[in-house]
Amino acid sequence: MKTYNFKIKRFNPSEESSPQWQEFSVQMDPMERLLDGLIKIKDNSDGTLTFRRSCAHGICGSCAMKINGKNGLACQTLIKNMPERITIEPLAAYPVIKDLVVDMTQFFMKSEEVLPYLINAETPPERERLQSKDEQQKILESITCIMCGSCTSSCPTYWSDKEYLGPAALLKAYRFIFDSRDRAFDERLGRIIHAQGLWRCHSIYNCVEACPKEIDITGHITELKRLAVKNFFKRNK
Amino acid sequence: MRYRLRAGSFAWMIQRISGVALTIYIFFHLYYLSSLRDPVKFELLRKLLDDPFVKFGEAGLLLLVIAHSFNGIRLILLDMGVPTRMQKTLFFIAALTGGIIFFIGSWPILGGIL
Repeated sequence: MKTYNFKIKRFNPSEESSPQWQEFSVQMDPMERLLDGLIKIKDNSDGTLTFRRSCAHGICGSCAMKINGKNGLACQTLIKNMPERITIEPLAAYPVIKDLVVDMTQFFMKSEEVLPYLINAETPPERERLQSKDEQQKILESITCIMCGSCTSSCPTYWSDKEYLGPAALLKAYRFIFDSRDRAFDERLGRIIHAQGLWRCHSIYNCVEACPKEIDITGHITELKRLAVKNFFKRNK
Repeated sequence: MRYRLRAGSFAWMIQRISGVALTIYIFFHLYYLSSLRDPVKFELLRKLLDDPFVKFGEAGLLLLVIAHSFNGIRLILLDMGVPTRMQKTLFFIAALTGGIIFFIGSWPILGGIL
């Protein structure tokens, strides 16, 4: 067992005017994760500490937060890899509801803008719509997104422009644009090709560093950019 | 916004700052060029270039141009399909070659005063 110092940014906008830092000392086993530490604080030290968590196994994306200045999932961060002083903040750029819980409405609305569902009016086959291995390979990485919001919240472009679609929504667009079963290619591409969409990405790579699922988000966005340029020249031939 | 600075975001900041600085410089440059029609004014501005502070400024200009163009080449390569895992390596290659070229290039400018 080792003692870790948790420095947590706490804020209750309905009662306080500015955020406060609060420190907790927690005894942790090296096999535990950061989320276990937060649960220990809530159970033993301060029951008012508020954070989201659900599956605790890196699938639901609820416990995304800024850990030592970098976004990630608390449930996926092993305590043995952390320094003794751990600073925890809510995800940046989203409005704080309480402590580490942020309002992600805007984030989900951005994804909605790119129509995040299969559009195909053709009569469906008797069983599932089939894909070749190569076609599946193209979207395999983008499918693993768990919508935790770490990427969009780590993007400096998004910090300065909340109208920007953000890496998560663009990745979602990629996932359907490159899906061989989808038929809304033009409509979806039209929804991302604008000044606050695809072209707002400045290849900063913060999203790639933040993604807990290790998705090459900027790489996918770059591919969308190349597709958009190719499409432009094809149309204007 | 306090967020951990990595090679990618550092490169982006360099690109932004050097881009804005070079845009501002362009106006001074055009002003200097416009004096070509006026021998008296030209001579006055030319004498400014002998000032050691201006010489340091010129070396700084070289640094900005190198930083902006080398990082620009890095970004173009990444846009053309060089995989993302190479972005940090490309940044360090750009910084190293840019640094060497800056050293060689600034010698004739600063050699006389250092």
